[in-house]
Amino acid sequence: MSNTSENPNPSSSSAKMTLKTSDNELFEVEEAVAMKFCTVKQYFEDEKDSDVAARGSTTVIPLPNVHSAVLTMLISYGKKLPQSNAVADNHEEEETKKKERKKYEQGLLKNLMPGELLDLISAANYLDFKEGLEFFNQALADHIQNKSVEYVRKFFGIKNDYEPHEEEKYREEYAWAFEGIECWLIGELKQFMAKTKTLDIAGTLLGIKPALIVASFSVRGLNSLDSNILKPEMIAPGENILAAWINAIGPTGLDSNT
Amino acid sequence: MAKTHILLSEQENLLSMASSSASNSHIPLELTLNILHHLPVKSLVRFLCISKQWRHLISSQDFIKKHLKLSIESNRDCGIILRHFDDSDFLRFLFAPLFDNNQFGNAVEIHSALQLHILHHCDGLVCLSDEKDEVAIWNPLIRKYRKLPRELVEKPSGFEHCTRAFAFGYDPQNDDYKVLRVVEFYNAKRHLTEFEVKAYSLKAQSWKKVEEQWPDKKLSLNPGSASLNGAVHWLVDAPQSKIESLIAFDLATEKFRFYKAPDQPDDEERVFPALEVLGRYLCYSVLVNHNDTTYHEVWLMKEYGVESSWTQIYRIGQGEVPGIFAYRPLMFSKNGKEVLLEEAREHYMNLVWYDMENKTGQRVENRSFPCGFTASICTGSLLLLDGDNVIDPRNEIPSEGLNLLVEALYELMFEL
Repeated sequence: MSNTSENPNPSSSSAKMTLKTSDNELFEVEEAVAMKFCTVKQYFEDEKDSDVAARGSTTVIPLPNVHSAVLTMLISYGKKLPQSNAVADNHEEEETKKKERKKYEQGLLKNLMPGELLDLISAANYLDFKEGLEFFNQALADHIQNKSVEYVRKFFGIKNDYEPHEEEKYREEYAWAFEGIECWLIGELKQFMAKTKTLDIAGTLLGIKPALIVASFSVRGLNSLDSNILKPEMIAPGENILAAWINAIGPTGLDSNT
Repeated sequence: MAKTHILLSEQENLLSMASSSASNSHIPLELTLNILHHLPVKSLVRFLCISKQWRHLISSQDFIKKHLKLSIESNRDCGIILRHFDDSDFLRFLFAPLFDNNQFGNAVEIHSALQLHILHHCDGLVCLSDEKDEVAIWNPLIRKYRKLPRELVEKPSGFEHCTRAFAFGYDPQNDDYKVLRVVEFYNAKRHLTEFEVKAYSLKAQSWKKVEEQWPDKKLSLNPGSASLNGAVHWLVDAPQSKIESLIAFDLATEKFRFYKAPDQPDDEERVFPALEVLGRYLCYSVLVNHNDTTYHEVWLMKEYGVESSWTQIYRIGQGEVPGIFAYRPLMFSKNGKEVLLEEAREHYMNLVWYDMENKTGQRVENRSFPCGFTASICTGSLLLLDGDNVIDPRNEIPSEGLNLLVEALYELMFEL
């Protein structure tokens, strides 16, 4: 399965190259973008042939250390960079492009998990993609900038080889550097809270075929507190569902529940 | 305190249970270093605690130099130090970070170990002195300093008075930061003068007399030095000559050399010239009287050492930008189109961003700035990490209350 790329600037060279990722996906990339990956550039400079167009369409460059998901993102970032063979823009166009790029960068970072940043950095380093490396390095630095020591240790998989009294000494000496840093506990709580979902009322949906049927074992009849309400008060698709109950009283009224 | 210890190790167990981030057990050191290069100094000092390896990495000279270079290039961790005297005439320092949009954050007081008021800055280090015997080198962002040993002045006989001038700069050949002290001896009639030049090396932590003598006894130093390209520069007063000169002292070769200031047209009169470092250039700023108007002119030596490369980058006429009086250029904005000026008004000081192309000025409005101050640029660097700690008397010991709160949250987490 190959990924074709559009050509935003018709006046630039339309020579394309094919890159193959670690999961055997093929990517057809414009030469201008692919050449930003210095490893790819080196691959061609090593070859004896000088006709890029001919080579580009036939040779498949293997990238055994790069996964397709990562390459997609790197190519997409590479396209947003000023192209070296593009016609020089005037001042206004340059400013607009800069703003667009900033917006794009912000959007990109919003959807990235911190762990993915490490994969991108690793791949950008392997590909020798300087601009990408710079950008993602800064993004990751921005992410860990205000994080606690415990978080950063976990993130990089580093074992703490300090004795407790040694570490305590540093923490006291540099107490000012720990001011205002989000305690890891608060960070975890925030993440946990973010995982709760809310239900929105969609309203009454008509015309669903086939119509949903209430399971035979579900309780029917009147609500014991208010006879104007018919049971079941709340239903959802599926049969083997755990009911929800409040912490105060368990489902069976017993002290322990299995 | 014991409870906090248990808490710290238990935290990591909990993290491995609760955390959803991928396991990144083996990241090549080179990649980690590249990421660390992009961090501000506060984070890096905190991360000294991460492991012994990280402490070695961060405090290595190589890392500190690379980090500084990147800091300067990207204007990161950049800010302004405001030095002012408070109501009880006590000297205080404030630091305000500079953001990308030319706005300054809140000015926060940084405790200085010493009541010294003259500032020179270079690479994130600040050299403080009282222009007499007390000198110290200070890194305000990481709260480290080193006080220089007192170096006596050997006054030759026949002279009653002396003035001292200091300069501070980086010697790239020896990878050393040096403080230069030039003492000018004179007597009341000023017929004769004598000079003494000594240099302090941060590496060697000692003073040394400079072999080369002051080149011309008729030259008098103007205070206010600029350090750039491995040399420190002063403007000199040469009574006979009409053309102004700069004297430069090369910190590596320890030799003096001269440069000419920008050419002055005959119908102009110059007053209050000053040398600064603006961006990466040597900067000459002066007030010019021409046709009954006063202008503030700023020149840059675009090619260091080449006198013909003096280029006037802007000229502000009095009244052109509302209410402007006397200026000192401090730094360029990130996009290089604006210059931050320190403006001296009768009862207070201002910082103004001057747009060179559109010739407009925008005053920096910031309630946390004091009325009167002297400003100096500051860049984040880890230099002097091995220096003495500045003890801030305002630092409080973390309260038991906070520990109890953390414990309570910890238990809550377990339940969840």
